[in-house]
Amino acid sequence: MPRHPPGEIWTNNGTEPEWIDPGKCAENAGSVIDMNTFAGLTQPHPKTLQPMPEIARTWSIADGGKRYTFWLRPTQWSDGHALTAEDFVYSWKRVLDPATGSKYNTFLYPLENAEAFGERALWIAGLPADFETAKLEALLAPLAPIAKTKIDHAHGWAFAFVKSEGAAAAADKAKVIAALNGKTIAGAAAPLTVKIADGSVVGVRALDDDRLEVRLENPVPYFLSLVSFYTAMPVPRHVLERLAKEGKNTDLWTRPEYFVSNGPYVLKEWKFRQYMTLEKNPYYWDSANVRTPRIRLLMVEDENTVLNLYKTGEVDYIGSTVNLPPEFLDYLRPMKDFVSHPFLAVYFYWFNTKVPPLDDARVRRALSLAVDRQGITEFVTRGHQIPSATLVPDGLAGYHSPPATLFDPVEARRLLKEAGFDQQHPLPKMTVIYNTMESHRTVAQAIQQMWKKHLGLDVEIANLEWKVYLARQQAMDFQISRGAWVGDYPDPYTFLELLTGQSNNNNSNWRNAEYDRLLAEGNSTLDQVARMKLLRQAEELAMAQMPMMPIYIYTRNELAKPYLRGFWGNIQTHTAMKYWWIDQRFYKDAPAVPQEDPPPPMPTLPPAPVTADGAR
Amino acid sequence: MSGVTRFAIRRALGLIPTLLIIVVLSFLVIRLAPGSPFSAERKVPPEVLKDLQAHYGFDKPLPVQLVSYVGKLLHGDLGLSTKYPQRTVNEIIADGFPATLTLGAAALLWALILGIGAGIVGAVRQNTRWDHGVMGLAMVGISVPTFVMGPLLVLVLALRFYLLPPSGWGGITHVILPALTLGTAYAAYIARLTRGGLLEVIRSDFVRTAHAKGLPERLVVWRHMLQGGLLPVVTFLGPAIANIMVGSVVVEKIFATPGIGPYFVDAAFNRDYFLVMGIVVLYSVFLLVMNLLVDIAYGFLDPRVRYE
Repeated sequence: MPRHPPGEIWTNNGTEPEWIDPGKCAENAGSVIDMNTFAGLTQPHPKTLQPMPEIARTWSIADGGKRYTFWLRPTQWSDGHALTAEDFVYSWKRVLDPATGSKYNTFLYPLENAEAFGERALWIAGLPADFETAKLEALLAPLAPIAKTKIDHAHGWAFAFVKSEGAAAAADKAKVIAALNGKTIAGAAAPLTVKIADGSVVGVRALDDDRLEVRLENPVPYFLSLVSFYTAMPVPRHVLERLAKEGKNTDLWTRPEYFVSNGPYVLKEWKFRQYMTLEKNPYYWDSANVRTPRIRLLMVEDENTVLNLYKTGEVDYIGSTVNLPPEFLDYLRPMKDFVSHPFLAVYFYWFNTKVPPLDDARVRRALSLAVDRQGITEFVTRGHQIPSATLVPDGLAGYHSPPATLFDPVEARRLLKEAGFDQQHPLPKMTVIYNTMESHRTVAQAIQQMWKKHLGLDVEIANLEWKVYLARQQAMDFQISRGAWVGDYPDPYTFLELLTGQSNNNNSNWRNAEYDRLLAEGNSTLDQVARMKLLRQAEELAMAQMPMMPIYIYTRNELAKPYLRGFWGNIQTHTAMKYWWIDQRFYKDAPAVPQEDPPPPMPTLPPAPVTADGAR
Repeated sequence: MSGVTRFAIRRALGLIPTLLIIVVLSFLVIRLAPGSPFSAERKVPPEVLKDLQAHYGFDKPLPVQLVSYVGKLLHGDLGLSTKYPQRTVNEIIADGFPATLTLGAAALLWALILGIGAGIVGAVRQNTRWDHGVMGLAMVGISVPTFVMGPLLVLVLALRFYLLPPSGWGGITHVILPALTLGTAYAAYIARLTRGGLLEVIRSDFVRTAHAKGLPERLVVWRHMLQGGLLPVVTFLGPAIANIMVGSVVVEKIFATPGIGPYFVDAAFNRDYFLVMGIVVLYSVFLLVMNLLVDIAYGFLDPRVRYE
């Protein structure tokens, strides 16, 4: 039985969140708070994660998937202030603005010209209508090193991305502005205007209070899932502006005394590194269906301590951010409280493809084939992870990865021989780096033994402190490195993007034009079947080249009290607390009732009727 | 001005350059460690990183940052946390310190009661079963690490008999288990030091005289032996109080106590520069002041000590 008052649910949120500002949050602990206190245009279904209407009651898609119009339902912030489409415009531009410091600002780069704003590109207006990229580059080349240019004929603008970094970039941009601003180009109607791109260039605008228009750079088939993510949730502009007017630090708006949100719950109490209390938001549009008045989220980091709290009934759910201690899994698994489900994340090893002998795809594939993934998940990690030799977990938007061999040491030895390595010419000694964590160490040791046994390869494993590991990885100062990737949205592209040439997080030194082309082509088609085929071809190409070696797909193992209802595990461990409730029948020793089914997908509603005078 | 006052002022002034050296060295060590406060598995976009670094002043040369830090420090401003950007280091320490102090005070009280009591028993009943018993237990107390002691206490008192909460913070019940865990290790040291100190004075002339006058054993111990016998304990208490009051990483982690113990380790791992520095400064001030107080207390307990 719970040891807390009825009408409350207690869970653990793992640690003190860095930010609970949805625009600045970039980690799990903050995301749990954001996903339950704020509401985006859409919301993920609690079981399937399919996007359903939330603040947007409906939407239309035009221009081949490049223009979305969202009709917002009449909603209010938790202080009763009306929420309008302008709040979304403000919030999204705030995320994109580098001055905000949002670590996830690239998340909104699918918006038209968002990258130009986010990268502080040069905005050039006044070019002749027939101006071409080559001419623009010729114009800019003598002034500054240019990474790329983009001409937007529809608006009569162009953007130039300066290649230099830091102080040099600022100086180069100033040089271009000084040289070109006010200069007249032959054939142009007016002199050039050159400045750093600001938020006005971004493809999002409020058509009126309840209509939001979003223009995308390219069609994004998973866009409706993107806008349910916390980064795309609105922040209360009126509160931030009020704080600024009062001369207060606007970052403090998420403190309970100023906190205003638009989701199922509001933040009532925040004890630093102890707990947060959320209270039902009476202004939430769907508050009639929010069943539990209060939720308390503890911030307990130690997994054994969490288990103790669960055992003594102080928490009803161990939370989605802390793992169960692996040594207890065999004992806990048969319990009726035990919940296990796949998690949208993959564990892998990066290969530095510029370093011999890892610059040979045959060597990389041989290393991959010599790893007994089944053995790792069964005897090393023991958390029912899913062995995988492909990057993308199965089932996302109906996607299935190409077939891949999990373990074939004979073929591995053949490939090595083909690459010129055998007993007489063994592979040189290599090093695997990983960050300090028991589970990483045991996996690395297992792989070390497998490579020794099956390939005769001597591998050293090096344990590095977290920030040192990151610094080495960022500088590409490694041969083989542990890695993992958690998907942001339920679409294969959230994983496949990792290996693209432009990805900031591609730690393999592997770039492949064909791979990038297949993904770009896939993402520009609205035909979902054709798209999945192209994405699959891209993954097949990447796995044949093996710039990284997938090992397993994560699973989440959790404990939730049987009296906790409205709780369905999903692949993103998205904890939709609005559905949670405690079944009081358990207090009365009534017979156990089975867990209820998840709610049916919420239908989109027609736009609000327009009155004769045009008002809604 | 009395000798003790002059001594205290001279020593207190001597602390300032010591503290400054600690601050400068710590600042350079933490800043020269590889890695950045903003590095993460998912990289921060370059333009955003640039602005974040400017926000914290990390874009300036290191000597400029050091001078700026020391300047702020003199005004009591410990800077901004990079891990908890909405809070200043002053706020974080002010939030965590009361919990650490409460836990530390309770642990110290427990350590003193248990340690001195056991030490007296050991000394007065030297080489008896009592002595061997309490000193054996003291050895166990020293040998069993807190990360074993804590879970054992939780297992028995929280999970088996449901007498106390296994972790958390809020009431007196939340203090007992972590204080027992933290205090027992110190109690064991105090027991051994008390016993040793008392054995040194037990054969002194003044103790023999006291016995000869017919004073009961209890009064001889309290009135005559403890003052001199506790000198080693007092020496130990200086750094012990500083340690205990700045928090125990392990105990605070096990019991999810919201004190500042784990901050230091976490802050170092997170490269949360100003938070690390804040704790270093706090710890240094505590350690230096406690050592000073111990030196002053020595004069009161031992008449042979002169403040010159």
